[in-house]
Amino acid sequence: MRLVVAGTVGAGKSTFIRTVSEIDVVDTDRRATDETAEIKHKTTVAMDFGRLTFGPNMALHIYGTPGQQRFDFMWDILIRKAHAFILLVAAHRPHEFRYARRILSYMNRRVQIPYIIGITHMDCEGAWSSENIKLALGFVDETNQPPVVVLNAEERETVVKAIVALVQYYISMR
Amino acid sequence: MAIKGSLSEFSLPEIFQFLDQGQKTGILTIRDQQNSQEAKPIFRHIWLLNGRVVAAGDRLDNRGLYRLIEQRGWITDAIRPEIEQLIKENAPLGLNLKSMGILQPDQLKLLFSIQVLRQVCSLFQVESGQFRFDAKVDLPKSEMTGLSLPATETTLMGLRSLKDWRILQSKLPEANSTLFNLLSGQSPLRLDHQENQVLSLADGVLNLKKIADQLQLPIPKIQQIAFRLIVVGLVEEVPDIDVVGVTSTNENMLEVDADPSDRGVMSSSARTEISNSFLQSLVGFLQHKV
Repeated sequence: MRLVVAGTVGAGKSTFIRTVSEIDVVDTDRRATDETAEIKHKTTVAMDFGRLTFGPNMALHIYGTPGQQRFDFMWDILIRKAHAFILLVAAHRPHEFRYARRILSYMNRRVQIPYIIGITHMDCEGAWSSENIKLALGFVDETNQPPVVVLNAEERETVVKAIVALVQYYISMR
Repeated sequence: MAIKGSLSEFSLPEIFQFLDQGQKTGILTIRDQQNSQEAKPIFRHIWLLNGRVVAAGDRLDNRGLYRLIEQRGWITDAIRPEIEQLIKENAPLGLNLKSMGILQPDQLKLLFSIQVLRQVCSLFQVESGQFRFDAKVDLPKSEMTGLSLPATETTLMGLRSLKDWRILQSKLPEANSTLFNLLSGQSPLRLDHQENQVLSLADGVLNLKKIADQLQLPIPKIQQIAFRLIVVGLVEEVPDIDVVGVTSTNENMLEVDADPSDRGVMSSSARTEISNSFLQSLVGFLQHKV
């Protein structure tokens, strides 16, 4: 099964995968350019890959999308083979909410796969509430929203719970 | 819980979209820091009821609307005490003066235009400012004319008169993005001719470059019009693949395979089917991890 971890710059995509993967996540960090450099000096240029094996020929592959704000052919490759994705959004960076909306538009117009929203950095100063973030992402109708989880990408337990939520949501949408 | 931040991070059009879609009630305060070199920065307060702008002013003494009416000479000494009483009781000033026959509907429209449209629309020009939205406030009824406007309609008016779009440059849709019309019928908002033209071409096929070619307008102009339609919820921007980035990412491409024990080139085969037993095993495994 393939899951994709998408999200805004600095939301914790690479950390998320690194926290749960049983293998070393290939370090594809490169020196960040342009506006991304103002946030981090390194960012993922290709993609991160992590894996969880739980039986003979049974594994969960987790792919992280590139960190820079452009949608290149790598995005297309990742999402066309994915079964579900989680969109990570940093709660304390409203500047990135617009980009998060663009990610959702890009994904939902290309593939129709289940997804959940993962809110990170909820403990940071200036963090918006989950309700307000959902609104800022364009989710107005309470009855037509994906599940939202709050997580800390560095904490294994919350990351695993987020993956459980995503897989269970995938099951419910079959 | 108050929401606050910098307008450079979350722009005023985005704030209004958020407040309109959330049908928020409360006070939005904009602090214009451009004039902070003087004694005080400029504050603007905008009151909203269920996502609609109902009043605006530059102070919080509940007398802003009263001052506007007085400046126009529409208050006589005879009715002044009565108006003071209405303000003291925080009664809806505009509606009361209309029912008393002191103000006519046209006068209220003019007051609303001055109080809200002129003051709020000018805020779209603010380059560096802070915003704060407080939901838990009592609305000052003595500031209200009784008229209101959806926050997004205020955005349309403000952006149409915006001269310098540099402050919103990073928010504009990409030239190779397409637009999807989100309406099922006619627009609930009054659009100008160019907005209607761009809306009619929001078919999810033509990108902004092609729309610009078809309408014979500069691409930046189309991006601005598209942004207006996006923030009032009429269209959705769908980014396209950036083919410029192909060469640089090729070098760093990670090669993976469906076989967990090996890494090879990712095949172009379709998404694999997942069995129920696989999913049950996975969930059990993950829950054990927790």
